[in-house]
Amino acid sequence: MTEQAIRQDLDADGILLLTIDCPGLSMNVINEDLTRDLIAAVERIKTDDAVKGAVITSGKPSGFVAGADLKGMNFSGGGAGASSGKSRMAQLFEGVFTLNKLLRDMETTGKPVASAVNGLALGGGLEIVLATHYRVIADNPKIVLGLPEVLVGLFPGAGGTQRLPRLIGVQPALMFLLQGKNMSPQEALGLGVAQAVVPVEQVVQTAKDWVKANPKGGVQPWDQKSFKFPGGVGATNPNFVQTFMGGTAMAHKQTFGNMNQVKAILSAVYEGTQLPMDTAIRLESKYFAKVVADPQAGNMIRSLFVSKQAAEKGARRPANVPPMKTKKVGMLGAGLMGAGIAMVSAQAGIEVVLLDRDLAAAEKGKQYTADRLAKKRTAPEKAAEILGRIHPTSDYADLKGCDLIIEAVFETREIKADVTKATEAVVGADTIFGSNTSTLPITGLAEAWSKPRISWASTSSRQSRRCRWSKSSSARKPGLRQSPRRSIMWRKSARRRSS
Amino acid sequence: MAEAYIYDAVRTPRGKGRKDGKLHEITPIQLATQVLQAIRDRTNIDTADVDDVILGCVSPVGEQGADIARVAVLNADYAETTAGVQVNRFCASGLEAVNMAAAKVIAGEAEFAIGGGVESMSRVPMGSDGGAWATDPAVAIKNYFAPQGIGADLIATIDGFSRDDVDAYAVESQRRAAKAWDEKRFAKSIIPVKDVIGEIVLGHDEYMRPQTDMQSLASLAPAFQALGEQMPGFDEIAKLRYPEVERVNHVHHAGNSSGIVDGASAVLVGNKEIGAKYGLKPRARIKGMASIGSEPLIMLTGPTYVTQKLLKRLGMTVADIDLFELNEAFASVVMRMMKHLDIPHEKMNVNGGAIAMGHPLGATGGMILGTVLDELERTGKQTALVTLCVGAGMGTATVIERI
Ligand SMILES: CC(C)(COP(=O)(O)OP(=O)(O)OC[C@H]1O[C@@H](n2cnc3c(N)ncnc32)[C@H](O)[C@@H]1OP(=O)(O)O)[C@@H](O)C(=O)NCCC(=O)NCCS
Repeated sequence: MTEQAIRQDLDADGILLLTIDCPGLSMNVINEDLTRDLIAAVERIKTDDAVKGAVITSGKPSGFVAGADLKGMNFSGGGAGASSGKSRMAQLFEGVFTLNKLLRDMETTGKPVASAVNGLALGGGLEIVLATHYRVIADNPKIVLGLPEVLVGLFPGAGGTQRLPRLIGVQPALMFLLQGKNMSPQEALGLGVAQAVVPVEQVVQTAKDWVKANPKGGVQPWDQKSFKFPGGVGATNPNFVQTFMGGTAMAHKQTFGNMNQVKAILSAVYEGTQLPMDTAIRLESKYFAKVVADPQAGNMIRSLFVSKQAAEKGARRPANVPPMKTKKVGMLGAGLMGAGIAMVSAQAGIEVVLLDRDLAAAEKGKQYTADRLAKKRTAPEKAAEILGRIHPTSDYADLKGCDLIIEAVFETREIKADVTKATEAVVGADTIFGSNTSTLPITGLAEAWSKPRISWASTSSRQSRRCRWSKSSSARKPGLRQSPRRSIMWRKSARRRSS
Repeated sequence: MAEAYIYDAVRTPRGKGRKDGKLHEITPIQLATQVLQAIRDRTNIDTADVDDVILGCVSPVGEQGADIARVAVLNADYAETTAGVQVNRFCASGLEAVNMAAAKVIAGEAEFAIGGGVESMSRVPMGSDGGAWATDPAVAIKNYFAPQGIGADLIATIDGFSRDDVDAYAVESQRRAAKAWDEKRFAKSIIPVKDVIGEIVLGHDEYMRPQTDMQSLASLAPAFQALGEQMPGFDEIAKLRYPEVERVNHVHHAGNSSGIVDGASAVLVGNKEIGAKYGLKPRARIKGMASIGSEPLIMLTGPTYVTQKLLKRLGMTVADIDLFELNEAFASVVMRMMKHLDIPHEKMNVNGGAIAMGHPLGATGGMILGTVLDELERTGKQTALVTLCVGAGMGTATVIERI
């Protein structure tokens, strides 16, 4: 059963109000229903003489459009073209080009189209907005506008890599495209992404007023002869060259050259901005097809979006284990790391036993919190309360009653083993024990505990990020430096199993 | 096959490649024109016997665009029948041009051919021609692009050259260049540059700083540190390729890198018969030439490899070469080659180099070939090897031998 995702209302002035309201969803997303209705709407704008122009808005108070439906994405390349004899890539291209082409059609009917953005517009949502000729945003600083696709292995593939640079210049556009950074309505206004910011109840009227006053407003700047690319463009333009020389190197070092979508964004902008719009969006879709054809994109969407959301909602949590609140942490080692963990734990209301070789060293670790709180001008009573939770000691017996132990002592196996054993003797082998190591293999360290089982990992240092991002060694020159291992925490799960 | 002989070699003095440089008012086409005219006027040849003029130019756009070699031929009033072609092998363009001239002579395509180069870095700045290598993101990432200064500092890091080491090399380059000028060792080849009213605007290498010492160099800030460590942070790219490097040691600065200058060079190459026709005595024979590619990020290690390749092909060893001339793009480049090929400093760049006198990119190869030829003649020595490090990891070399 097909349900209507876009309502059409033609007013007395011939302005077609398109209200996006995806049925059954709390937030509008670009799915099949919405695409189908948008195709119909664009067709009507183009062919119905009674329609003089259009305004697009959202029927949901939650926002305008949150982007593509990541959970429903299918890049298998099947569908209509599957039996056409075309290559898988050609089919993929056709699939991803649909929305891109649709928005291009919308901006080239010759009739003015304005957007009335009442709430957040992200990803494909903002791309719809960018394809309109006049963009009105509600004056609410909480509204976010952005193209965050890069964060989940994708990139704006409905004209975003082409329209944003043409609106605000290549360099500022790359910042938003590569970092997935959001902008507020006021920022959008300043950059020229929006032409008007008005109170939310006026967005539709303001948009309609513009359409009525600008019957010839249906031509984008980049489709006008007089168009000058903001900031300049082209392989001999010094700004352009500098932007790409620097921007590419920054992206390369941040991703270690391993992120397909980052490379595709850079190339789509570099090549596409030197092309006329119709060719440019085709090129963008070709790069998009390349990105989604690689398993990396699907994997990133799964891990960084679908699974992450599920994990945050506790998807893998055993059903009949009651939540365990950490009340007392044993912090082994009062160095910079130990002192820091002690501070954040105490601030979170957790009692901390801060243990080091001698009391002076432990006291020094506590002083760190005192100094930091003083620097932050924390109210004296509050500071006293936080400091009251940190108990410096050099006596392992004080660890009694801790429900979580974190170890941050010297990076030597012997010292770590001694500390681990001394701790187990007091708290028992069923207590959760975590190591903050960034260089030593966690399984080896766990041998000092009588019931070890690796249970979860956390990476801490920059070095371990390097190791995470880096591709197989074939992409790198063989060298002398060893990739440091991740820091991992382990715990004994007897608590759960033996019950 | 014919032998290729060098009959003449000239160069302009090098002017500071800045708006206050003495050659800034001289167009690149004028620089090229004046060296071509000098070759003609010094040898009295009929330019109809010059089949081709090959000029290196690294930023062949704007005033240096549209085949500056052919336009210089016309502008120098050579025979209309003389062809001209501009080539770009980055910093070795000038030497590549001579090698191509020699190849044409050896192959019988040309009787006389001229190789050389021109670069007005003050008027057409380095990098003006853009290019996919550094700016097309797909290409730059795939090839780990980083600018040459990062490569130079990376060489110093890997080969363990300290800031003092490279500075000491620079001081010596300045000392040698000053001595060479004092003793007029360049006199035979320098063509003073004239302005539109025929007055000499520059007769000596303007960039030199003979007073340079360790103290004055110590005050200079590393030139590539910010580029490497901050924006955009090319050191990280370098470390992806060279994971054994923990930290790039940024030792190069304005005083131990090649100077940015303007200038032009030309070398007349021909076969035996055409020289005899004009009663010209061959000054040297071009014994062999070669080019190679090597790892492009470190970029500047090519001279070692191209030297090995060329000597092997010629059945020679380092000991057979009396004088080496390696363009001083950066101090570490020369130090690396001396270290890896065991070349004593007494045989290397004996009259200083680009650190003292400057490196007008496309012209340099022709210039240093002439410099070392003059020195062979002055000292009665026999054989020299000329080489340059080249962008994107290449190297080009030529061995010449006095007759
Ligand atoms: C290293 C480099 C970036 C320096 O450029 P720069 O900063 O424009 O150099 P400048 O000539 O302005 O010199 C900078 C400073 O060093 C000083 N300096 C230069 N040589 C000096 C010397 N021998 N002794 C003392 N001071 C010296 C200058 O006086 C100047 O000082 P100031 O700032 O007080 O005026 C530039 O020379 C370079 O890129 N060279 C390499 C060129 C190249 O890559 N060629 C291709 C090779 S592959």
